[in-house]
Amino acid sequence: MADTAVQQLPVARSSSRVGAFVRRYRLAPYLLLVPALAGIALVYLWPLAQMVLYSFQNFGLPQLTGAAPVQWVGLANFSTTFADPEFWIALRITVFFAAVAVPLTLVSGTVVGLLLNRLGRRMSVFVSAAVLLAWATPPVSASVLFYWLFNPDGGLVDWTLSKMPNWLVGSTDWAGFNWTTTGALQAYTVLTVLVVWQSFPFIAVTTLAALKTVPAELYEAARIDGANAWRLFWRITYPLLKPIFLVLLLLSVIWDFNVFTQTYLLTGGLANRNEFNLSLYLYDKAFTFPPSYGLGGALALIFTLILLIITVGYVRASVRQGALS
Amino acid sequence: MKLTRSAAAIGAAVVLAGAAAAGCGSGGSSSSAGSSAPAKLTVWRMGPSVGSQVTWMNGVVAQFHKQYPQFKTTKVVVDWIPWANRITDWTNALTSGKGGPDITELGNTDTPGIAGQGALANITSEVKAWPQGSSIIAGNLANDTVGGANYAVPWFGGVRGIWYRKDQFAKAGITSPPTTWAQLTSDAKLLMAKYPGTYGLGAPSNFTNGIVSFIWGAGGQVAVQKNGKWVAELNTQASEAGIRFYAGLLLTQHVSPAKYVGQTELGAPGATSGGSDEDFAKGTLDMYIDGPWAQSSLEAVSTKYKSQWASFPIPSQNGPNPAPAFAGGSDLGVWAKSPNQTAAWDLVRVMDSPANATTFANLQGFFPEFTSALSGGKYSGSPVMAGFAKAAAYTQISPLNSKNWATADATDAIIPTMMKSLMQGASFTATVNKANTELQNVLNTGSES
Amino acid sequence: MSLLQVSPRTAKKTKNISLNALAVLIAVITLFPIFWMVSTAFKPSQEIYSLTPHLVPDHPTLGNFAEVISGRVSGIGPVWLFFRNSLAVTLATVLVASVLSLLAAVGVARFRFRFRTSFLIMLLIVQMIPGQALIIGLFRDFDRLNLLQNLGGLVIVYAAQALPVSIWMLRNFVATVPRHLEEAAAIDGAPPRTIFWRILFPLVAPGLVATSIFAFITAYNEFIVALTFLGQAHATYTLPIYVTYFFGRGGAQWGPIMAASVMYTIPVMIFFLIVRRRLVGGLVAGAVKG
Repeated sequence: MADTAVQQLPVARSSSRVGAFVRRYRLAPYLLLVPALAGIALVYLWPLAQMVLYSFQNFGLPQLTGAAPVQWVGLANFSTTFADPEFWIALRITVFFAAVAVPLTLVSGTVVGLLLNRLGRRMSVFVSAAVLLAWATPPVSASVLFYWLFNPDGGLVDWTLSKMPNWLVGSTDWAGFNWTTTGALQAYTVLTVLVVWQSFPFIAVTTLAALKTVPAELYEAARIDGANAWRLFWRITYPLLKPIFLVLLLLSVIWDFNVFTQTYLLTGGLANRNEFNLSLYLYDKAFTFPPSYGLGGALALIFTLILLIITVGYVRASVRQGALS
Repeated sequence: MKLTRSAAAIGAAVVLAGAAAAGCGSGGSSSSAGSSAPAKLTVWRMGPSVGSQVTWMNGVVAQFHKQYPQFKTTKVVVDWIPWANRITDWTNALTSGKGGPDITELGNTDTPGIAGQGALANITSEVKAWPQGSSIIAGNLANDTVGGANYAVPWFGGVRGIWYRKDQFAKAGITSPPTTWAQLTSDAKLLMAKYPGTYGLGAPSNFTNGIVSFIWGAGGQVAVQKNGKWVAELNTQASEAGIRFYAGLLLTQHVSPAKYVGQTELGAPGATSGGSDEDFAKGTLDMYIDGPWAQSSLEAVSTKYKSQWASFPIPSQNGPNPAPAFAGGSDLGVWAKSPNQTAAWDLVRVMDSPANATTFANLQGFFPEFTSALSGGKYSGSPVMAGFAKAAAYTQISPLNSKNWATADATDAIIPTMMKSLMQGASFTATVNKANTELQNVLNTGSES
Repeated sequence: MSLLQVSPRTAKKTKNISLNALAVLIAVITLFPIFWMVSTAFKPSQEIYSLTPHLVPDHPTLGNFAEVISGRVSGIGPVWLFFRNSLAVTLATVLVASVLSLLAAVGVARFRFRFRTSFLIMLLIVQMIPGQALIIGLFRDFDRLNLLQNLGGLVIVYAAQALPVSIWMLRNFVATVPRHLEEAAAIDGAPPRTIFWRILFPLVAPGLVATSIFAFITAYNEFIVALTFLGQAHATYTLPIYVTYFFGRGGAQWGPIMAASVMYTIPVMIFFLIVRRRLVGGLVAGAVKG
């Protein structure tokens, strides 16, 4: 197990003056971070500051081009959002979707990662290539593919379901069943399959990478003691991989909250308002023409806050985990 | 970069000559910015590059150079903007102030919104001075007019009508296309009886531009302007008759299938296959509401019945004239921030001359926007185009050209949402009243409440 | 060996068979939509729209691929231009993101300093912000910096967007490398550079592979920022922008779109096959516990 006390990286006996300066003021970590931080500040933090500013203003295209003055509107953008029933519906849909998609993604990704760890070479190349293809398929193409599979007309799923025997949930009612426009539940079922299909590879590859860092001797010792696969997983693998799982959980929640392209294409663009999730709602309210960047900023802030509240427990745990090493 | 002295001298001479020649000016343009020959003019065309259109444009540019010798050296560059990206490209050019075109094509429903954001140049006086300007279909020019000023000119357009198959009508004993609603539904049922397993008339719920023809065809209005404010009229008796009829195509007449609920005429928007267009091409739908531009997408699905395709205008409630149809199409506008507006407008005049507009429109199954080009039976030779040409004489644009229409229809989807609820069995009066209130609010203020 | 165990060879064989069977099942399920994509790419348009699903095209055609390769619909040039731009941007992104995130991960995992926790939390929070809202600010800023309409600006954005995830992931990998290895090497007089390359790097390599694939795919498929930043600089257009030319006013040309998607994924596969060695071969027997 890794050492639990944090220590400085052992320094070599370098006598350069810069080296001495760095050591004296303990600048090493800052130097290592500065390039990444610079990039993140430019691409995230600076636009974020602007976005926060806009959210208190009536910022739209005329303001952007200078054709009209920027006006301070205070909390108006926020209160408009909270008063909109569509916002709450979209929020509910988003939360339910994430609650289903995230566990499915994590479990399937972990299972495949474990599997990949144990397969022989040729098999593992085959499976990992398949998995990678699912990940690499452009989201637009993937969405359309799944739409076709679930198409009421000539789609494979409806066709198969209508031909299956009754005891297996089949019936001719399935022919022509419109998955994506009938209602949110049906559409998001398809979306869940699609998102899990596209997201589990990342989990699998990361899990595999993490598994590779677990010393083989631990497994050997446990197996000699007669442990079966299940116990091996829970007693050895899971505790060692918990930090990574926590990160993956956080990332999955964040991404599944934000999923846009697939939702847009599967629910028919902006036409089916009762099927909006939060990112479609945001796009619809703020970024369709003519855009309203002030409202967009406010919505984005609300969105982020909601995510933060939902994940605060996990964030704390994850950071604390880091403090241990 | 090394320029030999002689090359530089020649270059300078050309520029000076061009400037001198252009100093003669052209056609009294009051908003001219730069009357010397620009090095190039950029034209934004919407959609993928199509070989026949490239050829057409080359011919037009040759004409432009001949008719306006002061612009002989001006290169014309065409940028093809994928339809899905147009809003982003316009917005970015607008906000950054650079990278914009000199001329841009616009979908005619985009024009009022884009003009309202200040992206297009005011060409009112140019249009007035244009000899062919008076022949432009009034309704379509009105679409490009915001606050009394012209910001674009219509280029080509089309109206929706009803596609049908001549062989099916013949076999079902229908001798002439229906001109009233009653005839329309009885014909649909006749077809369904003669061709079991098909549906008579496709009625997708997400089809504002088709639905409005039924509202207008009953004598109703979607919204009207009174004292400078919009008053929505979806819940007048006439409008409700149209709405009820359309929803009834599914609910009471059963000539349209349930699977079109939530769809546009092309199926689920934003992607995919499966929609009334495909069904018509494949032969499982007998009558299909759309415009002549659907020809190429129908052919892409199936050419089995292509020789039998024909069209007739959407009937009004009691005939004999067709229902007014919304004229969709493209306009041409001059970019407000272009430094070459004089040259740009001259090029527009060439691109949109009645002759050129006609040849261009014919490439795609559209119509030119000049009454002179539409009349006189010019399209009677084609069974597909004849019906649409007849329909093209009865157009209405308002309120689809209002400043907030894009918000009402594309963003808030008020009419599609209303129709979808009705087709799913919601209470009629309550649903229509709710949509009416929302529509009025959006048209006036841009937001639903 | 416990008396209750079957002979190790039989047990191993059964387990191998059942593992392989499971692997095949998973691969088939995962590959099915891909199969559909490939099948569609070879179908003429009339077959794409059909009432009954056709698993395999009746009249396969190369026409869709020809259409994609010619680049006719863009009016700009053949597809190789877009491929080149996409690959250049993506590979540069992977390189920059890998280097920067590894450095930062080492800094965060191996040192304790005042802003460490805030930095980590900040990395998480920036990912929660919906990207759509940030684009307008990003657009204005890069406009002022004159970084629009060129691929360099894209690389900066994509690399920065890959950093939070990469740093978080690599942090864990760096943290699990046993410290005593580094200490032993230092005591032996090895400079930090050697410690980094000889000890740390091989053990975080699997994690680095995972994050570099992530950065690759994210940058490669990204569309909105590319469209917004590149404007009308046609020569810099990337593959995702090229594909939008096949989406028309009324409908889309699905055959070419699927053909483009198939061609699209080939470089990703190549990249993956090159780096996967590192992913699988990361565990060097015995070296860890030496």
